Amino acid sequence: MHYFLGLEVWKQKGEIFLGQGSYAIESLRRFRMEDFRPMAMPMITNWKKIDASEYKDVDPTLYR
Amino acid sequence: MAEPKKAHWEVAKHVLKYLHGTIDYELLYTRSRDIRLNGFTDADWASSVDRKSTSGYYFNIGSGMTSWCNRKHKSIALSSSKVEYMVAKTAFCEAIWLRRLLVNLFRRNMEATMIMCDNQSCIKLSENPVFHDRLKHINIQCHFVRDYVQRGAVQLSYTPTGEQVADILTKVLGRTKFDYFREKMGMVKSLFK
Repeated sequence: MHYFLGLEVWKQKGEIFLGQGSYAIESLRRFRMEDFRPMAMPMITNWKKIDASEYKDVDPTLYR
Repeated sequence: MAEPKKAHWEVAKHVLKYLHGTIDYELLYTRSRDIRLNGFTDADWASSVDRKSTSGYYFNIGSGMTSWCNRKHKSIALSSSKVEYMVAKTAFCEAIWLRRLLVNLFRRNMEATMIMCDNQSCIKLSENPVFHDRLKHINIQCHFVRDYVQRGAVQLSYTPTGEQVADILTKVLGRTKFDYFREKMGMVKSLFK
């Protein structure tokens, strides 16, 4: 395996694999989420458009 | 985010959980003899709460995806074919740049690049020299796309929605379709972990 600009590169005959596994783990650690339940989809499928202004405020310093 | 709310927070956390679920996934590129650039564009008209549209495109050179983009539009489009046409124009720019890059790298002539689109009226607009009154505000885009279609470098071609891989960039899909398109883009479970 080789590293290049944070990308992990694997090679085998006629095939190249590019991954970012270590970077993903690092990002999860940053938010202390490495033990959270993994999800198979990036968004819930029965998603409805909602008016976010009705919800409570979040402290922006949590992610900035 | 100017006004972060609990709802946004939950969605953002879900994205990180998805990242967690896909740590083992990698982009697979396989060897291919010919260098053919393939493109896909899609748009989801007026999909946001503020009625702005979402669009996306992606390109591959025979296997895994090499270039992709999705964004929420800054202005509101009046019809779905218009928004499809706008994203086609953006994809054309990317295709032209990628073609130049490939020609410079391999010093070979390339076949025409097919950009797949699931909007028939958008494809007709790219081929048909007739101008419609309703298109006059985007006529520079129209001329740009048509010019390249006529030169034969880049073409728009029809693909049914079921095979429109760029759908994954613009809308929320069901699990089956999502997994199918993701695999089509070259995202596979790692063999090395």
